[in-house]
Amino acid sequence: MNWKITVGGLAAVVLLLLAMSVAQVVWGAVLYAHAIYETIDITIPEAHLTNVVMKGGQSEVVIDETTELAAPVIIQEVGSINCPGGQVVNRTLKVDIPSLPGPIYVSAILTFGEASMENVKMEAVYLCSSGGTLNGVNMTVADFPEGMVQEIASATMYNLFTKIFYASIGSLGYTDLEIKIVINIPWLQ
Amino acid sequence: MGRDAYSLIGSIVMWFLELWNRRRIVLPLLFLATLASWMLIGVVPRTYAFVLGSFFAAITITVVFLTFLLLGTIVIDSIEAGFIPLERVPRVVVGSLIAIFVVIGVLLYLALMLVGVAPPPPLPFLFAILNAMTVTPMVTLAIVIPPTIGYFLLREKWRRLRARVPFWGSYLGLLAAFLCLYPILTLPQLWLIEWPKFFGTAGALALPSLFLLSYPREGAAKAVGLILPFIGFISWFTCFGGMTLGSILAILGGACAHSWSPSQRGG
Repeated sequence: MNWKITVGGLAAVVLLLLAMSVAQVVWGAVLYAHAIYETIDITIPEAHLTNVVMKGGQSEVVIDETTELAAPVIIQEVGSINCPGGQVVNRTLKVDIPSLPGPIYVSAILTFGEASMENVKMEAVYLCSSGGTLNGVNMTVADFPEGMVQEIASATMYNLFTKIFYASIGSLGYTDLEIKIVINIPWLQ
Repeated sequence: MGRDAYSLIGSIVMWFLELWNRRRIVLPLLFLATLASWMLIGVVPRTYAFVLGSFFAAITITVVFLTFLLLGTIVIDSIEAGFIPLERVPRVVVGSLIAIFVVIGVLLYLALMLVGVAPPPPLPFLFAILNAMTVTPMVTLAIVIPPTIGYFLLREKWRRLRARVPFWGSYLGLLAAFLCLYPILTLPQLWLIEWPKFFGTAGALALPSLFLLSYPREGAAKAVGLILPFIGFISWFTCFGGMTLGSILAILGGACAHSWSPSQRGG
């Protein structure tokens, strides 16, 4: 093994991640829950969205093993999301170990003071908002699995709550980030 | 390097060689200890301290077992087969020790972070760790299985294979390509979304790796040895480093391919 290439390559990767940390920007981030019961929960008090496309879809994740039923999902493509009031992202990993009487849950909770994202693609299983406005809405009926394609030129949504299990983010800029790691072992005495 | 350092490295090598010569006893014992440590978690009192303590103990014993197995079946086997010349052995031992300490350091930090002693890393590092956690068991198995089968069941064929082609360079490159595709392979409907980035990066890693297998020459290996780490770095802009481990494996694969040559075959 060539140690110069190894050390140089790994140092370049660490420097890139450090530069991203200093700039408070993440490029090409992927949030990925391993299965449908490990959804990533996102809460945004106020969201300004542009160029939104929402449609139905079908996940390959099986949610019912007896019927082999695949999970239906909402596929969202968003040009930009601006969150002046910040956002809270909660990703919980379910760790199953055969010798344990039950699973262990490890949650990473990210709280952003402000956040702005571009070129976001998400697969959501749940989405709700307490209120807001939509501009330039265009809805089209489509065949399975889309069902309906909804295009929104711009939108403002309040108390937006989404449960997703995949998100690809072109770039994420943020301020006042706080990260908390929580371990939950529900079967402990 | 000073005489004391050489003496220390020599002692470590001799100690490990003695241990590896007793592998028929040590390996089964370590394997049983690993199994027992995981089973023990199920019978300890169900309190936070006991469960986490036994969980970390099981991970530690597993890491010791896998480290012993990998050092024996890769490093010692390469020295025995003459792939690593004797004068390069101290450097390889130092490199291996540094790699082991880095891995143990990362695991220790993760353990301390989970119990709230060490602070969480910045966001890009946290994303990198979370993505790597998803594929770590699969990647560990993929790396451990070939040398284990090769060393214990097909030793001569295994050595001839590595003498004929830069096996580790190609294998790690292909593994990295698979990891770049991992998100859309597990979620096929995402093929419609930005698939060129995922497939482009995976293809850029897979093609040179396959080329090495079909044209195993020193010059080709040196060129691919530079291409793979470069694509591994670029993958952070296209598919977040192939679940992090894809980028790391591409760099390691490139380093293995670059050092492969007709006179020192072991890559």
